Amino acid sequence: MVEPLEQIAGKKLDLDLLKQVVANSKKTSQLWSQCLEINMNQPAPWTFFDSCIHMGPAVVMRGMESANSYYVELLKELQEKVRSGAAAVDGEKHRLFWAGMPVWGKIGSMSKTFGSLKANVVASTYCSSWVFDDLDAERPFESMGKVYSELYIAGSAERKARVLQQFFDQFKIDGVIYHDAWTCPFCNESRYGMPVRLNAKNGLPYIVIDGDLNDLRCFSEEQSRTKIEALMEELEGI
Amino acid sequence: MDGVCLGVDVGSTYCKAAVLNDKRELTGYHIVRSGVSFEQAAEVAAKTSLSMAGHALADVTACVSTGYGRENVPFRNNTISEISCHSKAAFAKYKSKLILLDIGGQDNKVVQLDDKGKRVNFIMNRKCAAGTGAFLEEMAMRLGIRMDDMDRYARAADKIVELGSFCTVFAGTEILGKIREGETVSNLVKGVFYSVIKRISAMAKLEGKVVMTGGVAANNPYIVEMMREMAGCEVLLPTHPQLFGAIGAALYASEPVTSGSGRS
Repeated sequence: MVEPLEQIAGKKLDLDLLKQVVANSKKTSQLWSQCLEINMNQPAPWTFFDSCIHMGPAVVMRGMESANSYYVELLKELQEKVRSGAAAVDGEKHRLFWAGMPVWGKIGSMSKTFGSLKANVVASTYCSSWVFDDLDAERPFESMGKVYSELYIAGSAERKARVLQQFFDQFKIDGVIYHDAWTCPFCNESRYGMPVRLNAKNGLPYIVIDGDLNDLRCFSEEQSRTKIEALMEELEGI
Repeated sequence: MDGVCLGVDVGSTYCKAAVLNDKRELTGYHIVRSGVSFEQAAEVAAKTSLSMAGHALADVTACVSTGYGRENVPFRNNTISEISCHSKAAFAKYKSKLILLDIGGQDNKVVQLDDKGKRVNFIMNRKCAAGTGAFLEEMAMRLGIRMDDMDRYARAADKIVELGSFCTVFAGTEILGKIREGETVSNLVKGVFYSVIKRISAMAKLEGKVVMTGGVAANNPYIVEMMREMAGCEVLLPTHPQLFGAIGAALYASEPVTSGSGRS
């Protein structure tokens, strides 16, 4: 690929620079991963909805020093919150997992809805999609090939189920929200019976919210709220 | 809890109220169109049902509201989702493992309860109101008949005219085509009922004891008969199918602690 890309770019590949960028990307990835894993603490210091905002640098600035500086600061702040016992949701009662993409146009209202119900969505498949443990500056091409072909969303249903269960265990999840995003069938764990199969194994209550990442015509605020409240009631044994 | 317990279910189309006495017996109820003011509909339903039970609003010990407009009931003590309220009423009545099919004005719910009344699973339709009361309303309009007469028409049918789409818009267009082809209104109405049944049957595997609630089942008992035939399992229609949400809410109101979604 190097030769045609050099022709398109009109300049030669600087292999040392590529290695540096891959090394920086790995650092970004590690810092981002630490920021997400901090929510294994109880109470969790931030929410899935917060991490949707803060994942920006990991997505579009990966490989830049500024992205790493951003996450160094963020991690410090989150660690301080854990030390002081500050909870993102006061009186955190329920720890939830978000499977699938966010409803981007509704992350604010959703955050408030869950907060008002003393529930925190502490982890997700989506925000963790920008964690690439196997990047290797000494093998930039091979390692990039490896991490991008091993992306969570590119995996089989069996692998996805295993990864989801790991999340549920590590983050001490009480219930799961599957978002059936109409226009994104790949980053979508609500289809082909996945929620039913996982529930049969682990007994975790779940709901499926119909919606979309962008097209809010596919999303019903009222129906979603009813489902969320019903899930909370189930968790409280009502 | 002693006293008068009130449940108000403010649905998208109808507002229902149920009053229970201290023995948890239904002593009053009322159903009114939700209209454009949920507050007003809730008040009318509550006051009329309380009057039927020989009480006034001031006598109410506790009130729980549910349904789309659950937060528009000014005199509520608590709100609980309609999923929980329907489940509560269904288990209180049947005390066994069951599947509840609720067909409302705008949405369908399928709730599975275990033999202890615990919710095993619940599914609601998508945002689209296909296969709900709104679908029937639109089809009645297309056929130029009153909704109240749909059950009578369906019973008179000699066959089902199967519709190819659940979508209200597409089904409406399809019906126009069938009318042009000379199909009878009765056969078309039966086809519309069949479409509703197929839609809700596709949401979950129906087995064991199935209980149908909601306004569609209440006003069109023939749908229940058709469902019974199609599902091949026990399909029950309670005495007050449309009141299950309100009765469940009143049952929650009768309990000492009704934490619920608790935004009151």
